[in-house]
Amino acid sequence: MRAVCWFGEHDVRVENVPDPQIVNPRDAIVRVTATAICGSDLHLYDGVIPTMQAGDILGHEFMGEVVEKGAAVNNLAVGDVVVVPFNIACGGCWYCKHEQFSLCDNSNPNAWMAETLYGHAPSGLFGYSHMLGGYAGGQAEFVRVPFADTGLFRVERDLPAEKVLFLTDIFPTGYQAAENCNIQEGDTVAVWGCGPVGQFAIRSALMLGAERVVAIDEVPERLQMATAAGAETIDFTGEKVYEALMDITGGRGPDACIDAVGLEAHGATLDALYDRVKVAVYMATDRAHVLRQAIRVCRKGGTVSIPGVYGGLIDKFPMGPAFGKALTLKMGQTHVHRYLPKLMEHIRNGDIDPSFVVTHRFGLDDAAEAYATFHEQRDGCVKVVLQP
Amino acid sequence: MHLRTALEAAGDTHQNIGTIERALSVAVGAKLVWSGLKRGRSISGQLLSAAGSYLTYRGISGFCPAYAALDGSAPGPLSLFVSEIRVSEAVTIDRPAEELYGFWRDLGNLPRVMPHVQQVTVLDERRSHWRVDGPGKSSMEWDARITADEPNTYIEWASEEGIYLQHRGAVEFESAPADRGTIVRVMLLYRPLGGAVAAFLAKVFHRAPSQEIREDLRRFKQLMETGEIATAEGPSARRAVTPAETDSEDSRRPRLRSSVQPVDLHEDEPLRRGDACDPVDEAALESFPASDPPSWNG
Ligand SMILES: NC(=O)c1ccc[n+]([C@@H]2O[C@H](COP(=O)([O-])OP(=O)(O)OC[C@H]3O[C@@H](n4cnc5c(N)ncnc54)[C@H](O)[C@@H]3O)[C@@H](O)[C@H]2O)c1
Ligand SMILES: [Zn+2]
Ligand SMILES: [Zn+2]
Repeated sequence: MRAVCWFGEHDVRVENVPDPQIVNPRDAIVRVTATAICGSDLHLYDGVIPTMQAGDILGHEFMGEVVEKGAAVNNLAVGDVVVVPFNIACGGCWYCKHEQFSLCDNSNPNAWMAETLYGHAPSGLFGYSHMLGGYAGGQAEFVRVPFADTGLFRVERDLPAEKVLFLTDIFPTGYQAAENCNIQEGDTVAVWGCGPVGQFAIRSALMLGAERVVAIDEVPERLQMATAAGAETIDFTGEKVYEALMDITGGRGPDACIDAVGLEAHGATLDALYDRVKVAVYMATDRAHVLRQAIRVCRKGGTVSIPGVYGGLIDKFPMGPAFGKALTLKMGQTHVHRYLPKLMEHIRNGDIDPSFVVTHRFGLDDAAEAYATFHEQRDGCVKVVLQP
Repeated sequence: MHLRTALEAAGDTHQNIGTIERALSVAVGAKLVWSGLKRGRSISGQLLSAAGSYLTYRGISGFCPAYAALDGSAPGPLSLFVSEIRVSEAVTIDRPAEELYGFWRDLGNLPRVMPHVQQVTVLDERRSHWRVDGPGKSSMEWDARITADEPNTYIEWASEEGIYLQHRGAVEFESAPADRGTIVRVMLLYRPLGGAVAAFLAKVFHRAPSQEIREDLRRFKQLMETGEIATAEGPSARRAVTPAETDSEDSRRPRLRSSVQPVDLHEDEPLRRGDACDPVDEAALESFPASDPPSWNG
């Protein structure tokens, strides 16, 4: 089969690789009909996530058709159309039973690696480094899905792929980010990053009752997309973010701040340059410019919700301000399985049509160009869908 | 006496090195292992690694067989060759103790979660015969006897007299608070072939007992909680790597730095505490100068 493989920084290629097979009784093989490139894939593309190996198959946002299933999979039939959460969860451990699927105890065969770095291992993910399981990803013609009986969600055939594809990651991710803000009547929510995750966070915050949402980015097309959802916007290259947000909130500061940027934040301020230097000489791994801004501007007692990915170490983390203002910090990979049924209802009811975010479509064979286009935000690119 | 009590009683008397020396021992030892591994499978590389492992072991355990031999706290000058290895590892499994005990007591099940155990043949109610991967391509065999058996709570066993790999082992099943399942704790006390030196070499040749037991327990948990053992393997996937298989050049080895241009630990670089490879220590070291060192600490 053909698959998008990682070979190093800014080097992805479509290769011919062997087809996957059923290995365990709870496996299924899915023929991929649509797959997307995530902002998280850009961290791999930039080579900032450890434990990747040349030849690894990328991709964790995908849907398709069940073509084969293991002996223990009883709740699905061959031919079912399914969406696949990006985290792999066993359904049987304490974490899964408490709906913390991205913390599943049993799905990461390389748990020892994550334990070395983090003390404990989060769940395995599709196509996202060996430390997080080493599983082959979904930017391919076929994928082996472990624990398919908990990891596959059937969708109706007549729903267009682009309406349901983002249930695999970015819609639940934006939703969880907003839910973590514990939004109350009258709340103002500030969202850093108007990429796909930011876009869904903005819409989810409004769905959950936020009074105002302020979106921050520098890319005009992305800011426009935020405006279309009903957000006010700040272009961080033209305005001082702290001052603008304090002004908008009458000096109170936002009730909740969402960092939908993560470890590769851009910035021209002193701390951002300092981060760049430290990362360049391996003194730190993550650039926490957005996180610092969010902590500084967030109102006293407010919440900083962090869907943006961080991988390792941050220097100059403003713990004093976070402590002094008694902030709540919420973060983590999304528990996709938890949100999927509810968000599916929202799509069916017409509360939201996630396909708004798609700006570019490529064939799988053009993956290298697709990655470059998304990475450089060329030509108004916000979200790329690949068709195998 | 339960093995656990024995292990705890034995614990303190076996530390004969001060804290600072232990830290140094770990740091220097780790450094040597790295350097040794970088030289690959050459003899000098392996010797360096062996020496390094010895120092690391000494630092971590706080026990120096050589000192013990010198100051007479060990039975004799040959104590270097009779050093014991103790392992205690625990995992919490979301299943009732009866089920876990039942699986374990049926010893023939164990190779399913312990890949290095080739076969366990049950001889009678108490006795069993074990065949296990040995060094290189060899295998080792022995008879074992169950010495204590408390249903759903505790099993203890010992290798029969006269074999070259003497050991005692125990597994304990204890219920965890509220709905958290059952704590399974495995304790091993053994004298590996050839004593201490072999144990250190075993470390280099990738048979670190505590890591192996931890992985066994992880597989046991997976099998009991999910009915299968998680794997990313398959025709289109990469082969999984065990902790033991990674060496310093390997991109799969977890490190917090960029995977693209791994930092090389140069031999002529001065030793730093970070070389001991604890990410928190490393962070404390590297965050300097920072407003709140260490900047990353649980
Ligand atoms: N928690 C999860 O489970 C989860 C799931 C999916 C994605 N993510 C993460 O969410 C983040 C966003 O994903 P995405 O797909 O939207 O990525 P993206 O790269 O498309 O979007 C990031 C956006 O942040 C903007 N940005 C950069 N620096 C900024 C700054 N200083 N201030 C404001 N905006 C800034 C960029 O211009 C870009 O529009 C990534 O870190 C991704 O890894 C997390
Ligand atoms: Zn993603
Ligand atoms: Zn689980």
